[in-house]
Amino acid sequence: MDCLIHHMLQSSASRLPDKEALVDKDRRLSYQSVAKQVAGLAQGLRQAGVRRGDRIGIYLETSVLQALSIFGVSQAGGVFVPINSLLFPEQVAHIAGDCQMKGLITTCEKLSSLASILKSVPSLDFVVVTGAGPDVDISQAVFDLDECFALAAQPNWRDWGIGKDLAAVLYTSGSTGKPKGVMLSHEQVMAGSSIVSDYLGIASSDRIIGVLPLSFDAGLNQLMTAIQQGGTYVPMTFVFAPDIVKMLQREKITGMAGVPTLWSLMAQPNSSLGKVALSHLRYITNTGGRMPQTVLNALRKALSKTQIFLMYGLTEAFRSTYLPPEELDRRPTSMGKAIPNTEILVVNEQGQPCKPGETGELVHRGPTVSMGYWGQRELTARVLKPHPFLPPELGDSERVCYSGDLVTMDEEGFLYFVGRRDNMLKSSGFRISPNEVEEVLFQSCMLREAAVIGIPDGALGHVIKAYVAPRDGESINPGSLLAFCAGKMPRYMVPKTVEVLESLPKTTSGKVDYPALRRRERL
Amino acid sequence: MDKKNTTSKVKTFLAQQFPITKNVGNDEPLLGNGLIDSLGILEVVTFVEKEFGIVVSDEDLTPENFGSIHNLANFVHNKTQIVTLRKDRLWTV
Repeated sequence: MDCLIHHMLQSSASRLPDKEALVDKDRRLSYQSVAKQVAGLAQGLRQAGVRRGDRIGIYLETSVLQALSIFGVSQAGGVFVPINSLLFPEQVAHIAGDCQMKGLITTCEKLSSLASILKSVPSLDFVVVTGAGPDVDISQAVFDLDECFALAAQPNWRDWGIGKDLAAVLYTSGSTGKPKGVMLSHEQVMAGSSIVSDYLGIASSDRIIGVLPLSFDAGLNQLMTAIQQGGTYVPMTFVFAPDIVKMLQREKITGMAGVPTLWSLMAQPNSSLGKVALSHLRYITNTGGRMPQTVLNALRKALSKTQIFLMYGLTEAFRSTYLPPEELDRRPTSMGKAIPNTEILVVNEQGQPCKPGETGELVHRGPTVSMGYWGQRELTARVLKPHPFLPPELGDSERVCYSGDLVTMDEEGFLYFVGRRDNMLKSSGFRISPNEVEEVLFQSCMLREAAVIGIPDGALGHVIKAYVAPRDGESINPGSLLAFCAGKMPRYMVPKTVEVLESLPKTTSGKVDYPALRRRERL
Repeated sequence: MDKKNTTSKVKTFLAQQFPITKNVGNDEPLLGNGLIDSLGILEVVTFVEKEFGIVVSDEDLTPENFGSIHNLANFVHNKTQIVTLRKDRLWTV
């Protein structure tokens, strides 16, 4: 019985040993070979000191190595924490410190940029590295990833965990503060793959391209569905969107997931997307924000034989809704309905079920509701709450997820996105807390006040705008302020524009009046 | 426009839009290390098309053309030469 994430790999490997499992520009691995290398890594990680439930960071690009590492950590009995490779050292250190990371898998090159900051992570015992890079002087033990892959697995290997155990921590931003770690159990991740495989009809004949980071729930889900069903997962990183089209063609890709920004890059007027034959591309999915209608129309024209699934999910509940392709013509702006084995409720301010057309909060009930935020009990209690409408006799043992997303539901149960209940921003598919950006603005030491809002943008979701007020007697050069930000955080977090005000509007309690700033932008 | 001028225009644009590239040398890599990502490339394309009146096709999107400031300036320079030549031809016809 498959009850842990790596069991899905082992099952597929015994069914289809010679089938291609993982492919990237450097490697092509069969299921047998993946299972063997994963077992070697699990052995290596236990030798390095991994105990049940230890958090192991994986700071790599989307690649075969990252996929192998995820399964290796699971098999070792640890908890994998994929870290977006775009993040800067300070942000990696936050994640490592927050989840008390015991080990880190990364490249020698990345390790050299992290060396000084890893001193601030006392829980970190060891790193496992790959690739070439400068010698790094660190106090932690260092192991070689390729040597781990080559280790022979113990014949009497024993799993330590059960399906209820924590499997993964995915870091994501909320409306305030620093990124938080959403905890997912083995059962939850596996339920997510079974459900998504079901409605996308994923089978062993599928070849799924992975361009989304594996630190993102939808990206991780792609890897899991491919391995669970015995399909092929083809991770890739890219700079030029046409390279994706070439890859779709070369690797005869059958399924691809993207975010609106990516799709709008691919649907550029002179894109090669509609010019090459992609007859094997069975489906594409969009998640991470609403796809602009113009982009959707361009994709439908360029990929007339491909099914398009519009999906919605939030990390806290892993995956939530999808719009069946046959509904696209009738309701192109809908987020769809609940995914299989899942119920979506729309709840108003009074805690009552909304009538059709009435705006309320999307509440998710089902097997993919996460375990909450690592180390944040209060915050978890605000998002994961008892089911609001269950008879009291059933008690309150079940938790449902309050998404913070405001939606309406029509008579037939289709959902439509209205907005956020809080200040959280979304840009290029990434969730961004205004506080996080404001904190970096303040680090410039140029400002007395700073506030960040999102200006709606078709392709990006939000474009970030910063309002700032200078320190007394000083002036601000927006260019240098932005340059400072660009050196401190990934580009998707850096404000696009800065407006300097003498002072920011305040509420009666003296806090920054964000609605007033939004009104300035006529939002 | 001479190549030096093109290089300086490209540099100014990059320094403004991608401040993190300010200290990147003309022959140092611009891609693959978080300096310019896929969305950034789109901004660069939009800029060079508008500023230099050239058309960048899908086939032009390669590291050989966008991999460094030097490569980018060369690419733009070669493209503008073609545009100028075509204009010349139009005049003679």
